[in-house]
Amino acid sequence: MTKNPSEIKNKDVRTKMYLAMKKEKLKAKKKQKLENKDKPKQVPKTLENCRVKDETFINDIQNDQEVLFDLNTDEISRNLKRKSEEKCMSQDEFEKTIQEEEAELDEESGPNNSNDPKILITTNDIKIGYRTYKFCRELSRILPNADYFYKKKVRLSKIIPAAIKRDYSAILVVNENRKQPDGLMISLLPDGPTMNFKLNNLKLSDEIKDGGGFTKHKPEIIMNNFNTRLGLQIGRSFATLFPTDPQYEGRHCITFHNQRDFIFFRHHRYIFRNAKKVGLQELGPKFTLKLRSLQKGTFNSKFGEYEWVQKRHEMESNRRQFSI
Amino acid sequence: MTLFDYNIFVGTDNGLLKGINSKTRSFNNLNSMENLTKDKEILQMSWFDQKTQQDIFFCTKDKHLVKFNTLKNIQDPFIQFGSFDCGLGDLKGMEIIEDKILTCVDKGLMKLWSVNEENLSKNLVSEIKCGSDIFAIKKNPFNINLIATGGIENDLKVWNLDKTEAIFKAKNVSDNWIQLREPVWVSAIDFLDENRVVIGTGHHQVRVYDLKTGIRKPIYNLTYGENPITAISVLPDFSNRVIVGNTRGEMEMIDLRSAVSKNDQCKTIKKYKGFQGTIKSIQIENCPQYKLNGSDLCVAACGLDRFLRLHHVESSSLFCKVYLKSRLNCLLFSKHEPIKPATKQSGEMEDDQVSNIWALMIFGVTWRQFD
Repeated sequence: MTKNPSEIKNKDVRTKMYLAMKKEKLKAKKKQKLENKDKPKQVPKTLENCRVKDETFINDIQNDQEVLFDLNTDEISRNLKRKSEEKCMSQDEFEKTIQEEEAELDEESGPNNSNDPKILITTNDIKIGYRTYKFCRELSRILPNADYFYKKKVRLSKIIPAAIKRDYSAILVVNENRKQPDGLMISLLPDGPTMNFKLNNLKLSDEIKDGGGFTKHKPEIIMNNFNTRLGLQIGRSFATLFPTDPQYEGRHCITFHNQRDFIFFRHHRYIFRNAKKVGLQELGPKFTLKLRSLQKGTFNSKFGEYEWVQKRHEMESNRRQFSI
Repeated sequence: MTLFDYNIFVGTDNGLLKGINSKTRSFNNLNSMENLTKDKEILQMSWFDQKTQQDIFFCTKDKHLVKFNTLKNIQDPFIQFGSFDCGLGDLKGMEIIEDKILTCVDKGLMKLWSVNEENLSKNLVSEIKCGSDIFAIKKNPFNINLIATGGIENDLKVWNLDKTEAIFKAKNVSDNWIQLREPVWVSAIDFLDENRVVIGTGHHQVRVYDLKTGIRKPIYNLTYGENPITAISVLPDFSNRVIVGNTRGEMEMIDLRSAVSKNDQCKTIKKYKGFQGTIKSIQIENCPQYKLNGSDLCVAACGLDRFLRLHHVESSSLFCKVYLKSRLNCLLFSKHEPIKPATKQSGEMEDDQVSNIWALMIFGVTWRQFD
């Protein structure tokens, strides 16, 4: 029976004994490691792993005739079609159209990108804080072809028809609380849907450590984990906000990553260091969104019909149940 | 004995008619998906004969009328009656009165048609103008000649089909405490009995009118929740109870005679949980196969959250929940018991069509899925 080294009063003996014990422990650990090498690695149990089965989960969309039919005829499909029309044509007669476009460019002053989404950004409050203003500015920089306007004293119910008249394809409204942006409303025009998000963990681009500068190239979009019917609806609505022809020389990419119903918005620039390594640099802003409601039609908080509403006590009683 | 595959029928907003077997919790698309468009959205369905519950009439958004035979093993269950000239505006409602069909558009023209099934001819019987912005229309199941209509700034009117004048015109409630007029928006109507009408409004009120007393204001005026009421259904046991549903997906049973509590809300007796979106249609029916605690009343509800839910009325327990893949508009709940094995749906699609859709959906966007 070995003595506990802390009971030995002689320091030299105590240290020696302690070191010997430590060595033995390390040996045992190494042995254990060698033994465990051949065993399969255990997968940790996470909330996502143990997710409750969702009936609306879309596994094989290509064989689901009805969902495809629904996707092809709903309100968002019109916005998506508006985007892809030009692209489809130019793919077919690529060289021809390029020549034509070049000829057109010579004649006109700027390129005609009428099929790109045109977005209006405004705020809910008339007087806004500096951070909210900056956030709106950054949003209008990320989304190509977006305009930011002061709210003035115009009601949202009057802004929306005016925006439809001016051929906007979506309207974003930033909500502010205590001088911090805390909500985002996205309404696709002309006929919905409208999504309401809680916004938190916002970091603007100059608050990000080692953040990169901004270029005007059109970004690439990545959608992660939008798997249920509701998630698909939301992911597609996000996709309508961006132009469909990314400019790869810009090397920047926008990610919507869904995890446990929180949607993380990230903006990165990548570089291929070599055949295996990729370097990432974060550009701003970054924030987290949580869906509050999905409403059919354009914004109408009083009489609008909801497709999905967050009911915290009914839906979130089970921690392993997610809806996106 | 007649056999039925399904006991619930649902119409979707992209024109599909679905039959649901609540026993096996399965469904089937009854009409084919080819040449369906947004215009074929099913707005309302009705039994041709309430007693036998065999034939369904449904109307689509482009003012077409179709009859569907629910009996098993029938060669061609659909009979297309073609387009009806209902007048200007959107079609808002359709009712079957004996063997005639009543259609109503939102501009306020109500037309009564008689149809012949054999040569598919239709004749206009009579026409009634019932004011603009119609939102809801309902026939009285206790007295088939009575029709109730209502809409935005168009208060409840009850019509007798034999006469051109309304037999009852509701009067708005008195002004509120700051002398402002209460807005009118009738969004759902149902009949309590022969003389009493219950309505739900877009301004979240539930009101009861009595046709016989001569009082044109509501005899009960309750508020329910904070969102517009979209569906209302009366319990068939004459107990003065109704089930209401609103745009936020709240469905509750309320007693019309209950005293209004302090915060100006009516008392709820039962709450039916699980809804995620707007409730579009509620129907209550006797279901002997779901007998619980001596009561076999069941309530089926569907809405924009693409689910059909079947609850027991008295215990509010969920019997059946089916995911139907499209936004649902209206439903019909039959009293017949379905036979157990129902054929499963099989979906096939041509390859080039699929790839085309993917091109539309995912242009320029990478979709990833983690396990």
